[in-house]
Amino acid sequence: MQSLYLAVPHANPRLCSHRSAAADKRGMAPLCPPPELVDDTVTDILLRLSPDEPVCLFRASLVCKPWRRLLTDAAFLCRYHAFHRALPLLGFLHKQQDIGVGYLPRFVYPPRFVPTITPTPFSKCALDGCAGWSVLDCRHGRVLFGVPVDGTSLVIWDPITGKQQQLPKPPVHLGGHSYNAAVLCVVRGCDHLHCHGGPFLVVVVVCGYVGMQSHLYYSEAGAWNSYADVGLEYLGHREPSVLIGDDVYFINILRWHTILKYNLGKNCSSIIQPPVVHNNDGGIALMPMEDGLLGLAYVLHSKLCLWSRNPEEVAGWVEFRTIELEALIPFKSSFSIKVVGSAEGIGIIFVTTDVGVFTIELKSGQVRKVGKHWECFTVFPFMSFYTPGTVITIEPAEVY
Amino acid sequence: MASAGSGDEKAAAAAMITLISSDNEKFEVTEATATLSQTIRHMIEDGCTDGGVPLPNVTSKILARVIEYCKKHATAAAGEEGSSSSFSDAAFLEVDRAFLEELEEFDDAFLEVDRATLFDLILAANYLDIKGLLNLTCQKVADSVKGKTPEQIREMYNIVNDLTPEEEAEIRRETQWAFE
Repeated sequence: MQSLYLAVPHANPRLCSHRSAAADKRGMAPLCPPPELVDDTVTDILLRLSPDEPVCLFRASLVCKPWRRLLTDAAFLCRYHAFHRALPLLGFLHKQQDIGVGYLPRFVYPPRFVPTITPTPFSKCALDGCAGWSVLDCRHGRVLFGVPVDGTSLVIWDPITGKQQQLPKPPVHLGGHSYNAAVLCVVRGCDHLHCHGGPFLVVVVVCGYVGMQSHLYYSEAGAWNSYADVGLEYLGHREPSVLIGDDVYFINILRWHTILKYNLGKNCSSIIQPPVVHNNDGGIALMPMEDGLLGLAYVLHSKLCLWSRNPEEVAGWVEFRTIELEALIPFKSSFSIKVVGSAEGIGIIFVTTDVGVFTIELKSGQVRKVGKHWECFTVFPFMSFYTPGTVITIEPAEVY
Repeated sequence: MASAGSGDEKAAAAAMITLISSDNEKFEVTEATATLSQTIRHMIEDGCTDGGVPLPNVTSKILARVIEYCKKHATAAAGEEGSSSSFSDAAFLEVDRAFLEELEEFDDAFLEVDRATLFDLILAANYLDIKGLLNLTCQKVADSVKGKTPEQIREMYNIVNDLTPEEEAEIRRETQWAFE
């Protein structure tokens, strides 16, 4: 067993010189300092700094060299990710306009990135040069944009590194079709805790004159693979998707909230009908449940209704919880309450009202105001670890 | 709760272990209490506890606190096991909740110690390999760092800044957002 601490702490210059000097300056007798913690226990303490507040990690990394070495060490970071088990919510992307199928954009605003942590490393102007860009998806540390150049180009943005990457042109002209798209880590069975910056996959499901097609882009190969006739006809609309196992679920808010289930392994799709009683005006969000089933949230008469998919039931869905929002979040008119997104895997629902944007943590019931009120929009949550050693490059986005 | 335990549990609870602190003070504890420490559990398994377990790295003051923690948590664990067989699900959940609340209150009160004692408890929990106690005490220190500047953290924990002014300036420049 290693020695635990020095019995005479004053003997160690690492321990006392700073405190003694400070105390001397004030003309005070030096206080008896606590014993020195050995490396093992420093690791145990720093492991427990919350990933929800990256600022604590960054400030701790400036305390001394050993702490900095530890906090930037790959093995420690691996342990840190595993210890906290879920990616923290760092912000969300907010779609300010929508490019309708076959229509010109109504307003050409850039999308916005709204940090949910303070202080934040993310620049408010990160996307200022991106007018007309449409957020298509956000997952595993990456954001997927549709950019209205040559029809539609696809661009990947990593908010942690600031790196942007334009994908090769998809084999189909997206501008003329309705489509859904998702971005995800390519590693099957990955826990997505350590895969930041690794290989990724982009899935585009297109509905055209010849039926449904899927196009898969693999970052490692740098090329698209196409599959024709993958299932039923489906009119796409760009809302956040949900990944559960090998299935990506897209929701179509224009068509009675029908849900498209696309299986990555088999390249086939099917349509799922939403719960019959759902409300078309209160917004809707898909979410993965802890048991690996598909979940869904919507608002009805100021109540947040949570459903879980159960194929054994005749209706296909079971309402497992309702949450009265009246006492939980502020609003002037109950008609203004809308579900606008869900953070995959951490049980957080985004709700907007005429007072602001709020997150509701389903397990604890904790509510946080994370944004100002906007008329109507969709939220794409951004979740990632942000630890010392990574530096965000603040560069204006390149316009194609 | 103890009456609901099996005969084996009672026998285990009755077995006593002697722990000897660095200042040679002896503490008699039940095996159930002692085995919250993985280090002592292994010693018991290896049959190395006859004549007492010397703990040269733990003072009597700290060992008394550690035993206080282990006794409470061992009782709660035994109570939970015993209750699961004799209550309905709803009653079990109720008992479970009461246990958790009581434990939480105990843990909060347990952490009301000065910084030097807290550090000693961390070192003892690390040496004795008591996961719950290590988690509790380390989390307390991690929470205390929240909202503090590097200077305040150094002052709190008597850490000397061995970064050169150039290194510090460079880090501050790169991650200015964290120090504004």
